[in-house]
Amino acid sequence: MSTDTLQRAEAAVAPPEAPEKSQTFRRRPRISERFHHRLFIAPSVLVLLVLAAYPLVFIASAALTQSSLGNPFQEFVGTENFQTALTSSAVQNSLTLGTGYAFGVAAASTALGTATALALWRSLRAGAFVRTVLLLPMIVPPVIVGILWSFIFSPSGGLLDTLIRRFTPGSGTYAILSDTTWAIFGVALADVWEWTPLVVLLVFTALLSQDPEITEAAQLDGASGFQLFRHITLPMVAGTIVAAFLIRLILAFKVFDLVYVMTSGGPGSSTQVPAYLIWRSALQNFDVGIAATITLLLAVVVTVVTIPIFLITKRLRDD
Amino acid sequence: MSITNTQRKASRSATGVAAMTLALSACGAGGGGAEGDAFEGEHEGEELNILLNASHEGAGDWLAEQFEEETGVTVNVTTVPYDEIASQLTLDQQSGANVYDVSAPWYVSLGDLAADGSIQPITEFVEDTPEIDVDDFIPTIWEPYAYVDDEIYGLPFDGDIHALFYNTEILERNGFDEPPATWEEYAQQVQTITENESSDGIYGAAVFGEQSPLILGASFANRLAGYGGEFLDENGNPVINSPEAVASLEALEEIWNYALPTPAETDFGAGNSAWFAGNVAFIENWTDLGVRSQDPDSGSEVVDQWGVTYLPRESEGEDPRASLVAGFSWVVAGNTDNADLAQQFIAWAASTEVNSALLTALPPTGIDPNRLSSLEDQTYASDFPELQEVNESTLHGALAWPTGPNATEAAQILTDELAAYLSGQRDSAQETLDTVQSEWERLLVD
Amino acid sequence: MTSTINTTNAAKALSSRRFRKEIPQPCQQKPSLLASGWVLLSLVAALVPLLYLLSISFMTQGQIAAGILLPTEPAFRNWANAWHSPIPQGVLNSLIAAAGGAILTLTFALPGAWTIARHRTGGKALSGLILSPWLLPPIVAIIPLLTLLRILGLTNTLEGLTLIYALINVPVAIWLLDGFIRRIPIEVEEAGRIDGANEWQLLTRVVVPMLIPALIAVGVIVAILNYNEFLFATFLTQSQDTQTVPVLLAGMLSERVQDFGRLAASSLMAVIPVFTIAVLLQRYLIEGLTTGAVKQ
Repeated sequence: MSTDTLQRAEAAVAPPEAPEKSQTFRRRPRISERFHHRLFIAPSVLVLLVLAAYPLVFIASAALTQSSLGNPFQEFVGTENFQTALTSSAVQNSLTLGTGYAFGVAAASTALGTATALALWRSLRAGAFVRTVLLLPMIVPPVIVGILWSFIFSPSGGLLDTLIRRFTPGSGTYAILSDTTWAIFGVALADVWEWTPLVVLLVFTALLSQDPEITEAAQLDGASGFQLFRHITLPMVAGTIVAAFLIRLILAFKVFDLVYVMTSGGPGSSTQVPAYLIWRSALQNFDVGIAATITLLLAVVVTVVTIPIFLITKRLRDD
Repeated sequence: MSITNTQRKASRSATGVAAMTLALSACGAGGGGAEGDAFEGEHEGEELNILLNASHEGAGDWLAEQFEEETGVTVNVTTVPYDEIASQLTLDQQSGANVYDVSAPWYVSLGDLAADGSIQPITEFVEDTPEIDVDDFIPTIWEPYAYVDDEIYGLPFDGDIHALFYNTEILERNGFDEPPATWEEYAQQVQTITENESSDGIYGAAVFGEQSPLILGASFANRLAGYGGEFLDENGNPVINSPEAVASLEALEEIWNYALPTPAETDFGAGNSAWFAGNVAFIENWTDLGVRSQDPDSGSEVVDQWGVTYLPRESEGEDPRASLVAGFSWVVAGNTDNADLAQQFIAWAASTEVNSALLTALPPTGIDPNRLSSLEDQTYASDFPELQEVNESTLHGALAWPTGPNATEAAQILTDELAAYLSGQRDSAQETLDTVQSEWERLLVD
Repeated sequence: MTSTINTTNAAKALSSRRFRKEIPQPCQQKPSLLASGWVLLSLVAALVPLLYLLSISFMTQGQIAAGILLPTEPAFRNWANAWHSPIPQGVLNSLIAAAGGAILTLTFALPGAWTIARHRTGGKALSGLILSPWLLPPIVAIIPLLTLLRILGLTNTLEGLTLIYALINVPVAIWLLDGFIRRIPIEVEEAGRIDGANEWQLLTRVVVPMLIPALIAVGVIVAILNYNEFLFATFLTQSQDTQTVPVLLAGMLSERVQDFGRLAASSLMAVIPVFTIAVLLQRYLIEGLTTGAVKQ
């Protein structure tokens, strides 16, 4: 399921540089080599066991039992938690919101990031300074990104409020984060600000590594301008763009820190994304059983929505 | 053990030392010293780890220093945000780390903590220790802060009721001589002031509306207390969709658009800052706000420009009714290997002498009276007569949150629904509270 | 086709030789005004929020509430207050956990990454599974991980947090290193084998030296992920001398008196080390690659 998707996504994001044939040319490994390989891989396998298998067993067990924070696995309840979660409007809304949020944010980041990467590529002034500055939002801790955008959206003297008042005197107060419709867009904007640079970097690198000979050949054939872009450049970076979209999608599905700092899931439940709902169920309401169930449901949603994107990635690569 | 906590020393400002001396002499005179002597030396050199919420940091430092002086026990204080204290304590106990011996969570979480074994019953200890003097605890506080079903799990630490603070200058400017006695008058005054002065950035009230049980939940509970409503009836069944509750929610809605923008984002920090800056006429707050309001060093611009009164009621002439919105209890961690010392500590920390000393300590500790004797303490009466008067409302009756298992989740659900209604996601107050009622019946009646 | 799409990830973008070499002439088309305008716009979008934070850090609460955008007379008090608070200790804790975690992550991940990339040990299943923990929010996993730390006696210590960071980033590190390892010409390793090196010697004497720039690049990325992490740190470090800076900053949000200026100054104090490291190492990475081990 999800892991398989990721494996393929991974392959799409990091296509092998060394031609496959040099790898297939290999002697039969000796015993000591195989021993070494197993030794080398042991820490990674151990990490997987500790980090994936152990928590997964815990989550699955918690989902099937009545479990509180301090007293997990009280009694086996079968699918009761799933029934509760699936019929709960809070859970349904949260999963819907999370999916919509993830796609919206990923699409915005990918579109803006690709545009910026193309602009950088077409611009002579894309020096080290520009690249460094574009890196900065990505390395700011999300907690600080949340604080920063809360300041900007603050209804009492925030950047946005001040600017609006300055240009349209007498207008009312703009409090984006306490508006049920707009709060999620406020969080999304902070998210897009933070992670779009990643897309820029990925796409820009792909653009730079185009084979100049192909472009030259196309130019000799009379291709120019938009045509060149449409038929040569874009197909060459399309795989990267979709892969970047996928990474961005998964990051957005997991968003927690920003919501925690900026809106606490509110107003009402209008920014209660799945990660926040899970956190609240487990650590505020002490209901680990439900929290584990929502985690598993989220896993299903993430898997289902990423499969088509993965298929696109694969097709783009195989073309 | 691999605990790397360090003790936090109280800041030894000149005032701090003065308060300490005062407190010490109070201990000697009041006979509290005898209680200290009883186990002096017995645990000398031992350590006690206590987990407090961040707003009790000052009180924690004071207690640590004082307890160490009296008993030779090193007290390590760890503070976490107020909404994380129960989960941190539970995770500590559940994982088997068992770092903490003592904590002071929100009293509403006692039931959940007890159900998970994160705290242990102290019934026997309380019954065997007459010095604790249970009858001296303010009766309206004692019951909810101590009991889960028939077992005692906590001793009251911080009474924590809200009072209505008002800015006298703003009221005068707008022609109001008296603070409101009813929620209706309050709404009128808020509305008038906001209409008159909001263009200058002055608003009728700061209303705590951030979506947290201790913030928005408190604002609702203050009104529910005033309208004479209850969370549960005498049989423990939810009555959260009562006419009083509906009136309370509608009262909150009525001023929502006249409050400091925007209530949904107003947490303690935002509300208090507006109050200290003199930008709001009213704020419902803990009584220690008064101590800070008189302290220009902490940035207050409202020194001598404020007053405090009881929370309004439904109609004039009714007795004031306290709303136990926050309130914290001392508890002993479930798996502590030093239960004896932990019990000694909480008995000491909940004593008259300590509570009285904390009431007037400087810098302010934010602690409210938990006992009849500390409420009537002379230093408190002479230093903060208005605050004492307001706190006396707990004697007339008080509204307490439900306790027992699932109470935390119940408070959370109520808060969520209130926020949803106030942000326009629900059709009517009645319908909103009906939803809460059915959820509460599921959670609390089983 | 595959060899022409050098798409990958931040690490390789940072360290790619091409990145530097081809900058003077990114493409043969003439630079467009629209493109330059867009670049300028994105610079503004990236910088304005950060500059606003800087501006707030020099304002008093009154100035902020009044909606001033630039402080008329800078209030340095916020920075002094932030300096005399637990923030510097928190930054130090964050740096220790971030760097310690990153070094451990690389130690765990490199042998595995090399073996998976080169020898497919563990087969498709392993390489497919490796990134799965990254897919979901790790919230519920906190409970079992806390139990694990308790067994090791590391709860509420910086060592415990460092260990968790080291573990949670192994999958990401393997994933990032994979691309780098595949770029090493296989002939180099074959030559090592013919010279009689065993697998351990091959890894330590041939592969590691060639991967140093990659290790730095991946290490920096992982360290930044650690530095920024909030959720685990909240529950794994509670005492003041172990708290990391995101935890301290989140704690400041629930203070009973709001001090935006100090919050802004504290935030910037937390950001300065990462910015410095990123800027310094970006240059180092690119230069190291042009003159370093990969140059053949």
